[in-house]
Amino acid sequence: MSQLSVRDITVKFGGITALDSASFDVEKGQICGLIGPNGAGKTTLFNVVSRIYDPTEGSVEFEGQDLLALQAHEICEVGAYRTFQNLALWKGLTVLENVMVGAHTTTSAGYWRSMFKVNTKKEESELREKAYGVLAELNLEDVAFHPADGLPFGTLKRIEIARALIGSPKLLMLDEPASGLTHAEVQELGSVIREIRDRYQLTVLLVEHHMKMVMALTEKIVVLNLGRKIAEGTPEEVRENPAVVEAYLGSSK
Amino acid sequence: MFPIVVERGSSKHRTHMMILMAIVLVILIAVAFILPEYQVGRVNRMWAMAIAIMGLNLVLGYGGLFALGHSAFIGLGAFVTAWLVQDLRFDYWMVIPFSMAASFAFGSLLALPALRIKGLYLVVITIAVAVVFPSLAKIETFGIAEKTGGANGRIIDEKVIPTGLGKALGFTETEPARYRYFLIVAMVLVVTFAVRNLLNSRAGRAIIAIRDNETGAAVSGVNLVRQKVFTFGTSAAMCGLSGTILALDKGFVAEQDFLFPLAVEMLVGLVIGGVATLGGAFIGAFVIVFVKEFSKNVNIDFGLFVLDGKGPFSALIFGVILVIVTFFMPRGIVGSLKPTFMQRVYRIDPKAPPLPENLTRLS
Repeated sequence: MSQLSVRDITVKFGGITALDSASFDVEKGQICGLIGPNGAGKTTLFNVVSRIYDPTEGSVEFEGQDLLALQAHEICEVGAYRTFQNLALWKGLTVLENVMVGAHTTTSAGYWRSMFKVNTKKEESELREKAYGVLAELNLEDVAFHPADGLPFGTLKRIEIARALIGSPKLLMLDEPASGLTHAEVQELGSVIREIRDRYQLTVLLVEHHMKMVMALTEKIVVLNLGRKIAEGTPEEVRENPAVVEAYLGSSK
Repeated sequence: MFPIVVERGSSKHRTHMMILMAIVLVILIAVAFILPEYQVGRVNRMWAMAIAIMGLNLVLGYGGLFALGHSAFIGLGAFVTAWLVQDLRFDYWMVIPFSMAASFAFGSLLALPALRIKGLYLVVITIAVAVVFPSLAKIETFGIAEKTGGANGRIIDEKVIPTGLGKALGFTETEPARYRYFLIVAMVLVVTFAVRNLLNSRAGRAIIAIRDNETGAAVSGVNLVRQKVFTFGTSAAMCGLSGTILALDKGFVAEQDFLFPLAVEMLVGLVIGGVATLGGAFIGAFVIVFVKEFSKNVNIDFGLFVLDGKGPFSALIFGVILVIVTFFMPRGIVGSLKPTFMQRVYRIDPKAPPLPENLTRLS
């Protein structure tokens, strides 16, 4: 059985249908690309899976568990983490603290324990060490004590990946990780994503506009256009699919 | 020599902190013995306002929830105090957990609209609560007016009779403010450290995360509902404590002491002191208690005209002081001075945790 299974997802905003009965499966350990022209519904689909939007119809299952029964803050408990296209970092916290919040569900100090430091010292220092380690893996430890603001865009994007990684995800959802990056940074990011997958044994769902990166990186691609799935398959299959070519380049008819 | 830079957690840092704490404690204790009784009462009031402003700061500065009805929580704490002390004959220190619990419950209830409503709309709803609250204290049904004193207010004739240690230290019945001062300072220290610990912990980071990016916080596993309810409740509980201190210190509660302007005063204190700074609450409390008092004592003879704070000009003088401070320190006194202080005088650098032994870097 596939790890993530999206079935007949329809999302309507008022009279606009953002997603129309989209279905696809992602296998465990796969890097799956989700592509399509602007307005195709890629980010909407992401928001449904990460429980920010409620779909009008359809179901999402992750390892046999109904994701739609969960709230947004519960999806990381089943192992699904995501990043954001336009960043969702916390500027009032340092980079290290940002990553520490990423492990919120794997730590336990509540309000009262935090206030009176009851049995929190060990957890706190372990968490700090772990967060620093994850930052170091992504070569970010130099900015650990810098506020998560006013750093280069590529660095901030990596910080978001670090924040997701510290929770030991099973499914990592990356929303346009290459947007706003320089050419060199994009290439580097591609190999980082592949290494992360290999090292952490996780599944990657990737929304991306950067075609070269998607084609080189993914094992499976789902193509959306105007809310509908128009193609699915390996990069080679998708590249030659006439419906995809038409959606991207327009038809001559 | 300057700036002095220490590493967090180093022995130098710890020594400095010990020295600082010792100095602060000496000053705190000295204040009680040097100042006359009526001034100690005013200092107590300042501590009460500092606790309340810290509570407001938790919701507004760190939580990013624009609540402006905290006068109601102070009022609830004060009325609960009057009721428990007058009708049920509680000792003053025994009142504290009850007034805090009552305000916590009230605050958590008020968090419910804050879960859906944001920005100006939340401001309006919380203002409504602050405006309605004093009238609620006057309702005759359920014996509410009887307990709160209704429109006439109620005297709290709790007598402080120093015994044991208090007596040995030379306190007398005629100096209740001086006698209570130490418990109040102890509460201030507990609250300050609790808030500081909270902000440097898992729960506090979650509060700030919600303020800076709610969606990001949610997908990282932060339960928005629980965090907001707790933040609101804790903030209200601090105001309840503040209300208890104010009520006991004044020896009298009345609904007109907890009108909406009190909430505005707290907001002024917070903004002047510095939003989202820990020390700002104390500076803010000092300003709204002592600088306001100072503006009443201003008497400048301009020859043709005497600017006298005793008349209607006291508010004007206070207002001008506030405008000048906010003009030159737009992020509040602490918020504006802190960066310079860290650059020129004293800075604590973070200590990097050790790197994992089997670190393999991603390319």
